[in-house]
Amino acid sequence: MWQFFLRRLLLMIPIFFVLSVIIFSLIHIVPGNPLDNLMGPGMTKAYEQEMVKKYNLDKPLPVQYLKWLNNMLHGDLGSSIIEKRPVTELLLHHLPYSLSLGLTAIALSFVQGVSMGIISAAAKNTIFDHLAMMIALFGVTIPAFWLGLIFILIFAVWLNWLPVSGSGTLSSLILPAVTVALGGAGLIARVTRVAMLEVASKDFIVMLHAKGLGKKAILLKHVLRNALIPVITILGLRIGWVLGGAVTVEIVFSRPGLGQLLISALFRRDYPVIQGAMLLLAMGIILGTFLADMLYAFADPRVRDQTH
Amino acid sequence: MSLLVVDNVSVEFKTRDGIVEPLSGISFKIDAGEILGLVGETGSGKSVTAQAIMGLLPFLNGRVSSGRICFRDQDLLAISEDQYQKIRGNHISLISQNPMTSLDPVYKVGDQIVEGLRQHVVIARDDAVKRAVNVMTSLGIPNSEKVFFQYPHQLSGGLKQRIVIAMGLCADPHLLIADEPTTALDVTVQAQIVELFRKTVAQRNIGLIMITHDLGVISNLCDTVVVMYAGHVVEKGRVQEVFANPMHPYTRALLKCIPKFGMPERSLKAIQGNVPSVSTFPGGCRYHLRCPDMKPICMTEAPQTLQAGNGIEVQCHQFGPNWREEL
Repeated sequence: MWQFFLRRLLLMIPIFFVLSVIIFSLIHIVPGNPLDNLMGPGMTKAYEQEMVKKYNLDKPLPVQYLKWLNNMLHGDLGSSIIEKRPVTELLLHHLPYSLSLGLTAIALSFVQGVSMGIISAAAKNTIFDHLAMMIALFGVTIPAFWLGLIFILIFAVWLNWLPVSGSGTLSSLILPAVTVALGGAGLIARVTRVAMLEVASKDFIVMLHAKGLGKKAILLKHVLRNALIPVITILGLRIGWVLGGAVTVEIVFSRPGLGQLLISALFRRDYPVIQGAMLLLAMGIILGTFLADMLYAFADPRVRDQTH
Repeated sequence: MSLLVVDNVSVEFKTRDGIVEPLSGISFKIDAGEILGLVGETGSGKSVTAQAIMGLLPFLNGRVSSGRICFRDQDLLAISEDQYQKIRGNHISLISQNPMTSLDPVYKVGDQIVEGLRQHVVIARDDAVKRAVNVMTSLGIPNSEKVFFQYPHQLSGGLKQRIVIAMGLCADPHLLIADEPTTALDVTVQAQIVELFRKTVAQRNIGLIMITHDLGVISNLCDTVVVMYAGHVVEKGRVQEVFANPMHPYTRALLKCIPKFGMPERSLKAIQGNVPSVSTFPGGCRYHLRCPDMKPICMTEAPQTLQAGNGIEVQCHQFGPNWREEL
């Protein structure tokens, strides 16, 4: 178990470096330049020169990359060319909004998805199964931004139960979290259902009946427990995804999350911010996958013993 | 009072291609302290018989379509699923055929033994663990205390098989059904397990149905033998009688398939052809396609069960009134 943990942990280091190269190169492939946005009428040539020098924009790309990497490893992600604030400060300001939304959405989608999956599998081919699977299909296929708008219309405008947008209060978290969660829940429900039905057809389930166990005990203790293994994989992928992937929902509900920050930085070619935000989101995905691997090993004793 | 009476039982399964009947009107009974051998080739319906007695058919898309299964004078086909749960794994235990797939991969094997035990017996966890470890040790599992905490994938096939046997023996069953329990074991362990079965039956005065295609095990261990072919019981009786004087051509052929020490080269026989699959059981006698003594009547009429001497019952036209050598 410890060996498995350490191996996965060490594996994150090379992945991190490869990612940093990709992120850095991608941004510099995109045409455009932060100075175009910064330079207004009345700015002098001398000021432009000074800016170019300050942000190392005149150095060859590999040198820029190594400088960035070196600073990053010392905890300095540079500062925003447009907003003149340290990137770390910007990221730390926006991160909590994404984190609270992402984690709430993940928890919601797990609970909702697994419950729907259990109902579906236990009541296979009944009206409950079809209903749950329809809701799941709905969740997966409806675009989140549209769903968000509909939710605002129903729950904020018509019923006046919840705030239209904002980010200060807990009640303002509910609508965006449910919006993001619904897509994940649909996916998890379908995976849970299929996995449970597959496990239920295994030989050892018949043997559990032969031991005299009741249907409920078999379903919850054995079938669900085995079926959660593939569900965890999906969950790990979603953890990384919701941090950055909830951009549209953040915009709909005006939440100043990382997605918002990244999009505005992209439009203004604010290189340090783009790099920092993308690096953070990428780290989120790596961490999510790592977490899923750990959960996976926890859930499946066969994975723990793998030596490669 | 017999421990278990299986009376004229037929079994149906729903499959994609319609309904099939892998068991047609089989009957036998077993008393306490008796060991009954159920023998036949793959596909003869041995395991389905075990599933029918255990009441597992509903979970496999099957059902007993006719006949009676009585366990200690209780009609098992008439009781509710809740009542059946109290019998399964408690009064009747099944040792399953395939140890590789019979264990839940995510739980420790010891916990799986204890789970079944505590389902039926009020016993503290510590005591249950002790009892499980004792049973495991008696089955020749080395380092039982350690193996208890291992997962199925960490054990060899032979160890897994013994875990499955331990699951069956741990509760105090009146009837034990062992479905080919020794196939994954090497010969020395096999002998050890067979000996343990014999001891358990004698000590606890329970019934044992031994499903196997190993005639050596049958002759060595069993009191009575039931020979099955394509969902029919073709011959049954005391082991000594049947083995000394096999009547049904299938039983005779089976016995010729056992290699003997010192037999001349190339004299080992095999039965021509295969057991027909359940959807292609032939009409008449189901063995007629492979039978060396086949006559026209065998193709058209199903043979009745006949009482022969020595308490043997046989299902073959040869011993019936309509058999004429010249035909």
